[in-house]
Amino acid sequence: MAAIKGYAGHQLRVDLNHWEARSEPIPEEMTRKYLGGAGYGARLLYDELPQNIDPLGPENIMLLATGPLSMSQIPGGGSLVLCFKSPLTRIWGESRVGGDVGPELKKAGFDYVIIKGRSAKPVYLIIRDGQWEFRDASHLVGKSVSEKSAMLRSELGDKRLVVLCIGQAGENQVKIASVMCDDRAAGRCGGGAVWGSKNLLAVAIRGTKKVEPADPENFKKFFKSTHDGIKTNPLFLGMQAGGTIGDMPGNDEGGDWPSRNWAANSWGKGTDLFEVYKTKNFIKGYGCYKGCTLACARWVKVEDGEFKTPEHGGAEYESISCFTAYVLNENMEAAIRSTYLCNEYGLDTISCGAIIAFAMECFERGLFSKEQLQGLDLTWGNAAVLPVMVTKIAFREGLGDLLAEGVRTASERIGRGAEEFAIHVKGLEGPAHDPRSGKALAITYATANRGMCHIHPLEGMAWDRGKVDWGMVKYGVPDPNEVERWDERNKGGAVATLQDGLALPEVLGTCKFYMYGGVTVDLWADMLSALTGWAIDGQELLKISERVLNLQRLFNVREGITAKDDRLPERVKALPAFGKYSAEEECVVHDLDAMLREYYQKRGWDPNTGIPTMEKLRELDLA
Amino acid sequence: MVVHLKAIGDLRDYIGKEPQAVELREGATLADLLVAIDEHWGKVFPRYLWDVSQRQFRGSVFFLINQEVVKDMRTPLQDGLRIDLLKPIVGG
Repeated sequence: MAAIKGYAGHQLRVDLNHWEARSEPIPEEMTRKYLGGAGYGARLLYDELPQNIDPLGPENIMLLATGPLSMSQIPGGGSLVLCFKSPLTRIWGESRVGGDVGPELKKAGFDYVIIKGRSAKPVYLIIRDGQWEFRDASHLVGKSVSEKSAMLRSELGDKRLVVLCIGQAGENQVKIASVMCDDRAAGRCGGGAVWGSKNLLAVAIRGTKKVEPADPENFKKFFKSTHDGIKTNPLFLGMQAGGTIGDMPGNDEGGDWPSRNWAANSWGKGTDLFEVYKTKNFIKGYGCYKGCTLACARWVKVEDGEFKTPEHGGAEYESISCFTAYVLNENMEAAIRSTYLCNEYGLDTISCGAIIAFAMECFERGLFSKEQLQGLDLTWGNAAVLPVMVTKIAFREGLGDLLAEGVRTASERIGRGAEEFAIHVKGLEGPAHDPRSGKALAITYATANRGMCHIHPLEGMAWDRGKVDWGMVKYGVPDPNEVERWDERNKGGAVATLQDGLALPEVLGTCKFYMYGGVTVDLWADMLSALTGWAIDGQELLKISERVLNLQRLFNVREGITAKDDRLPERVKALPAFGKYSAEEECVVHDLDAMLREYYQKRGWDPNTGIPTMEKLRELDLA
Repeated sequence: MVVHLKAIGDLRDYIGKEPQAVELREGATLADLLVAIDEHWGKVFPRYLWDVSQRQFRGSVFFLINQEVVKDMRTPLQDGLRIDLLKPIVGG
């Protein structure tokens, strides 16, 4: 069978039990229906994972999935999606990583790597130009992400080797462990723990093959004109100028900055913290993969002092917010140091900051014993304790062992009311955006398939508060300039359609930030058509995306998820306890149920159970 | 002459949702508009948006004319021109 144009054409099935693998052609029909990335992952995991398996058992699948557009010359093409059953949430797990790993895997001859089983001893996998090899990784045990990466490049004699690996947190099966590609993270949902459970420490990739577009001239034309078109887009320029952390002052001001474990949605310290970062820590912006023109990544350092930290890629908005406002820490350098350690140990910065905030509230309420604390001072704002807690969690030391389970499990074990302030949805800790800044985010958080996630598939508040429309108005989404951010009416349907549009980067294998910069659904469709030779338009892309999100929902339904799980913690909906919005009744999430009813109706889901109806499944060719 | 300043995103909280008519001298440039913005709204903007001592926006606030970002403050303006002002929320 001839390879599908634009795809590498093969997937590598890996059996870690026996250190065996086989290459097989990717199925053509499945490819057209699900495209790739999290779409292909949804089909694969739904079909091949039995119900209720242990996510840390050998039967779990770890899928490394490129998408058709995971190519360095494509705007946003530096992307790889990991799909698995999450050990943190026990439902659909999905996590995206930037860097060169996605394009490199494709150049090495594979669109997907499907990993099953458990190696008897630590192992790493080398993939080079259609070949593969397993090697003993015992010497990598206990090494950090940068150490593992450097050791592999050195021993394999290839500085350009792209390394995907876990740190010590993954080895210790910390439920919030990430999988890293240098300083880029597949952070959320605990994929690193799945790697650790399989004794898989690293995958090293190198490829020199070319992926042939069906229509090279048109393909070149589309990606060049898209690059040209977006480079003057103000949102593109804004991201280039400030990076994601550039939003911090405005989000604080706009009530989109969860503070003190979500007691409030603003803190009033964002501008000062940002000024410190800008003058003392920021070095330069850079693109995380070859070919990126957006360059939102930040190169930073802490020159000296207690929190001295070498130059590294980091200081992302989410990461820094979770180590400042979440925990009332006014020391930017402690936040930078802590997030650097998270990346070195392979820990999700968001969940880690959130868990420390939860622990600080437990401490305030006297819920930890002296034996648990072992002298730790978890007072709000104690900067010195932050890197200490990161290390304890990564190595499961003392109290860190309990917190390594995530806030849901930790709160259940602590009891005595701790569940009330354990901020999560479906087991995933919340990130650094607040639905009291714009109500679309309330629906997004309640319904996202991986839990309380702001960006897979949608940053709701960017639409109703930020007035970003991503070119979706032509597909029936209300113009955000006509929408009040705190209005709760008519948002359920809008969020459903927006989710379909904004899930596309996860399916196509691209960076979502390029959609902020002006790459629309229609542009993705044009590029995909030129690449594959398919005549595919924006409407079809949205239908595929809807199919994928419904299939992920079915995966979750099979694991026991229903409408009762589409909820928000009470604190996240309530009047902020302090800050600029503490007397602003309008920001309160008044009627999530009404918004969800609209959402279910638009989705074609049963209004009582939240389960997709047979009619909807037939429409999406899922039944 | 009069130009119409339209705020997008967060800036609407301070300038208002509707385009604001700003009176300028004939032959005015974007730099003159910035002076007028300081006079009208300099005290209204929060600190993260406006640098009071420098009398200019902080960071990435953009002027858009005909949907194009215009950075050259010497750009001449014409009577009746609509100028969009945007502080982008970039996500992440």
